[in-house]
Amino acid sequence: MKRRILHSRWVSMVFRLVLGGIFFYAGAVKSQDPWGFAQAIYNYRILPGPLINLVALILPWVEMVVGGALILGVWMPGASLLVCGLLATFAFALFLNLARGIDVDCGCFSTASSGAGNTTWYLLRDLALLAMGLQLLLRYSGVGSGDRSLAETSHGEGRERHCE
Amino acid sequence: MRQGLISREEKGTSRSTGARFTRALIQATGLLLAGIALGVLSKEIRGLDIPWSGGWSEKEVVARHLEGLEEISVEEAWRAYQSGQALFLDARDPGSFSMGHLPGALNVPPAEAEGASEEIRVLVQAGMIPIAYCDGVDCPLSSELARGLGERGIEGVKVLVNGWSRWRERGYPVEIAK
Repeated sequence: MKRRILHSRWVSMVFRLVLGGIFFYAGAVKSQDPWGFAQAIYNYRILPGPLINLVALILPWVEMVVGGALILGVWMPGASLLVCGLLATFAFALFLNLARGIDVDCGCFSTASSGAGNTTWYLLRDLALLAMGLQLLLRYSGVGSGDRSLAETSHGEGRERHCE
Repeated sequence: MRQGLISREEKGTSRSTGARFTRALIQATGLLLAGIALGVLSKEIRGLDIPWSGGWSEKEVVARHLEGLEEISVEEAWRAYQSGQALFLDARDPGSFSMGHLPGALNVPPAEAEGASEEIRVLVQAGMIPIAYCDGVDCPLSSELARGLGERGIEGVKVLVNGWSRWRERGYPVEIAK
């Protein structure tokens, strides 16, 4: 059952459209306001000052490219690997700020309540998206599946590996 | 014999796993480079005013937050408080506010400027001096609140930069929410 969900083409289709849509939309919005996005990056208090604008100018386009690839189903092994890499990086940044007590909405140290609440919610949302990304990575790249056929066909459901 | 078969199959699987991962890595790098190229092109074509680097020293951040707004020093805020004219507006989250705030402050996070604007307008018209503050030198909340109120017709909201910390450093009185 677990294996069927992990390799189901329908689940994968929904996941890639959801992730692709979110990444493309998020990238498009951020690309319209690079100063605003740079402020958001600054609020995370992780990147050194000289890198903030560079990331604010480039990351939205990387998100749009990976989002577009996921929606169109192009270069799926690479797109799912990149989306997992991005989501894992975001999760690490959120976790770090949760541990340091920084409200990522404003970059302020929050004594409790809403600030930490928002960060926790962002982290949980990010981890849910990362789970979707990992499903895509397993299905489309076959990395870790140990079954060559899964990576090469789109009909992996129910196939078992027989060694004997 | 069987062991030989398994061994060959495992080798084949291992090789193909490596090849699959390499293919995924090459594609991911390609997508990344495409994103970088589009980002560079977009900045040049659109002529964006944001530089590739810089603009995030503490001084620059504070200057950007205060653009078009009026700053008030902690001494001036203290005098306004002593004369009974200070209307402190705490722009921090309610949790931070409940753990302590400037005397008589209203808790108005920027997102709630709309709802609080009528009450603030009445108090300002009665002669109170609105002073927005938050915590941290580069905290943007107080300036966001001052701008939000300005957009709703409440002009002259002053910003006390790093207000909460500086007020406490001076040993001035604070209130804890009940």
